Order: sequence, then structure tokens, then C-alpha cells
Amino acid sequence: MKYVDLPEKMEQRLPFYLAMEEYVARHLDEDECFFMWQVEPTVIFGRNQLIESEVNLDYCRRHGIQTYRRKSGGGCVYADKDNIMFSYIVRADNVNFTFDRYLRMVAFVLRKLGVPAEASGRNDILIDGRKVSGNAFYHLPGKSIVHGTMLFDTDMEHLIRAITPSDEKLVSKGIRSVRQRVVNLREFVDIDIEAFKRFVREQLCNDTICLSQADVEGIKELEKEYLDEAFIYGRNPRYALTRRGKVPAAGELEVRLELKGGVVKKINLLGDYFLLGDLDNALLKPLIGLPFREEEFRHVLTAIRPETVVRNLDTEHLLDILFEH
Amino acid sequence: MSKVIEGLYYSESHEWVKVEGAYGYIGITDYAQHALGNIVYVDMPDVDDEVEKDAEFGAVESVKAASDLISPVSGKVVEVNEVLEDQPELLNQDAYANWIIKVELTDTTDLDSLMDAKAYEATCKE
Repeated sequence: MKYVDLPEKMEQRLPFYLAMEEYVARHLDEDECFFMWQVEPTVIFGRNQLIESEVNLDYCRRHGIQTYRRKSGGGCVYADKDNIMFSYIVRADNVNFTFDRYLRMVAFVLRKLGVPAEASGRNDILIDGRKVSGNAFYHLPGKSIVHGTMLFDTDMEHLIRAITPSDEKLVSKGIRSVRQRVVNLREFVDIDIEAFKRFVREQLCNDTICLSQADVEGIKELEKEYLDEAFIYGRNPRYALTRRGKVPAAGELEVRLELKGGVVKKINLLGDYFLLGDLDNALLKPLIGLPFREEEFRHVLTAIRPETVVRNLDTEHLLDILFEH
Repeated sequence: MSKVIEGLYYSESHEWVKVEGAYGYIGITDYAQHALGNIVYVDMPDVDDEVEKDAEFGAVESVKAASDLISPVSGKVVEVNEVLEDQPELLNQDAYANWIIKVELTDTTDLDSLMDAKAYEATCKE
């Protein structure tokens, strides 16, 4: 297998490496490639995951942890400089066969270091039943990408808190993460992280491909998609949301929303309110298609003036309920 | 051995098209569902979205992997198979009986580059 090297050492954000995998898969006529990379603290969620129900966005913001979506399936993971990310790109279509083969290969390398590692049926590599590596799979025409974590000496507090959602009540048809006990490889080996990477590379690869500056430009072109908010947030699967609140003189209200890609697909207002106008056409329909964000809602609601449709329900009260002030 | 059925158009990336008048129903082949394993989620476009021949229009996710859906034709989405939102496993049960999207075809010559059942079956054996 060939190791893929960049033309020079460069600090990149996570989407660059996802784009690099995709570039290698799409543009390099190779059967089997591998490379490793590390990034500043980042949470990566699966292709069809609802960010709000998987990631503690507030914790991430407060600690400068970046958040990105990948194109492979599965649940969310946390990466930092002490979590080595492995990327394997192979000409293959069969998922089970390819996944098993890769996991066994990596577990075998760890065992050579004396670590009692084994591939689990669940896309992971375990040591004594604890997860040291979680992996995900992205299939594109003719090629497969398997990538995963290798927890070497990761900050476990950040890891756990960043990927424990603050709002677990959200109901989504998307993919849920499977939360498991984790462990750092550092507890089992005596070598440092660079020596470990050298060992892995020697064990798995017998040749090197060095990418050119033109390749890097091509990768940066692909990276744009991963950096695009429409990809990160707009791919959110459909989910339902219920907001409740009491409005003085208007009564107890419940708003039921269905969102897809962060945009309102359905909205309903329930409660013991007093109607003054046409609820559906004057108030609810204009909200369909809007991104579920306070500024957009404020803008549209100010023009609608909800109090002309529902007695005593003004824009501010409705925003308080919707965005839980 | 994966199943291939007559009367459909097939792409190299393992999607099929069934043509009815100006419309095409698009799905994944039995080979594709088999290669992916148990399907747990189908990411579909919205009605009125445009799909482009050879470009991605969504994804199928199994317990193991996410796989791009590549459109074999260009057109406008007129319907999505909402049943798959709740029962994605139908694609494993019968990949040909469960279409994913229905599109209004932009250009029927898109079909010329696709394979018939016999040619497709041969590529699956390679």
C-alpha cells in the first residue's frame, strides 16, 4: 500500500483532510492508499446526523472546538492533536468485506506493539472492551474511503463533553451516535506519538506518493464544499421540535415545527388562544421555508405582526417561545 | 448473486432508471444494496430540486457506510418516495420495487449512455 504525502508540512483544518481523501479517491488511479493527520480540537459528525442532537455546540463554542460534517456514515467523534486520524482509500465496493479487512489490518499493527487490540463487529478497534479507534465508511463510485480515530493521548474531558448533546429531546430520523467507553493508546505503549506514527506507516505502507502543488490546489477546491454552511448545517436530516410557553393574556401556547436542513418544512400553533385572523395563511405559511434562526424569524414576524392574527401574541413573545429565551 | 431485471436502464454507479413517458423513476440496484448492507437512512432531495446526470443527489446510509447516490439522468424532481423516510430497509428487501425519486427528464438522450440489463449484469460479474 502507498502512503500519501503532502508536498510540504502544512497546518490545515479538518475539512482539508476530508477533501484530500476524496481527491485521492477521485483523481488518483491507485488501488490502495493510506495517510495520517492531526488537527486542532474538532468535532466531526456523520453525514446524516442532526448536529443539535449529537454535539454540545455551546461547549464547543466556549472551548474553541470546531465542528464539521463529513460524508461518511455513522456517529460523531472528537479529534485533537493527540488523536491520530487514519485515512484509507481503496478501489472496492463491498462495504463489509473492506471494513473488516481494514480493521483487522490496523488491529494487527497494534498487536505488534504488544497492545491487546481487536476489531469489533461495530466498526471499532477495542482494547479490553474499550474503544481506541472508531471508524466510518464513505463509498463513492468505484472507491471506498475508511477513516477513523486513533486515540493516542486525547483530552478525554473535552472528548466526552463535546459530543454529549445538551438537548437530547430532539426527535430525528437521522443517525444516532453510539456512545461507548473510550481509552487512550498511551496507557499501553511506551513510545511517543511520532514514533508510533512511523511504526504504523512502516507496517502498512511500502511506497510513497507525493502530491504536487497542483494536487493541493485541487484538494482546496474540494474543501470548499466541506466548509460551506449549506453542507455543514443544510444537510441536517428532518426533525421535529416542540416549543411551549405562556404568553400573558394570550394563554398557553405550543409550537410544533418540522425542520429539514435547518429550514422550516411544517409549523403548527396549538393552544387556547383567541384568533383574530387567518392563522394558516397570514401567520404560519409565510414561515415555511425560513431557516430556523432568530434573525430571519424576527424579520418576517415584524412584517406579519402576529398580534393581528392571535390576540396579544406579539413578535417578541413568539420569538421568546420559539428560541427559548 | 445479485438480481438484475429487464426493462430498466442501469448506470455504472449502480443506479437504475425506469422510464414512463416523460418521467424517470430512479433507484439503486440489488448489487448496490447488497454491497452496502442494512440500510438505515436515505437522504433524498426535495421536490422541485434539479438533479444532474452523473452528479450526486443524495445518499444511502447503512449500518456500516454512507454511499453517494449518483443521478443517471438530468431532470427535475417531481416526487420523492417518502415511505423510505420511515422504512429505508425496503431498499434491502427489494431494491427494484422501491424507487427513490421520480424526475421529469430534461433530455431523453441521457438514457443512451446507460446500460441495459444484460450489459449491466456483465459489469457486476467483473
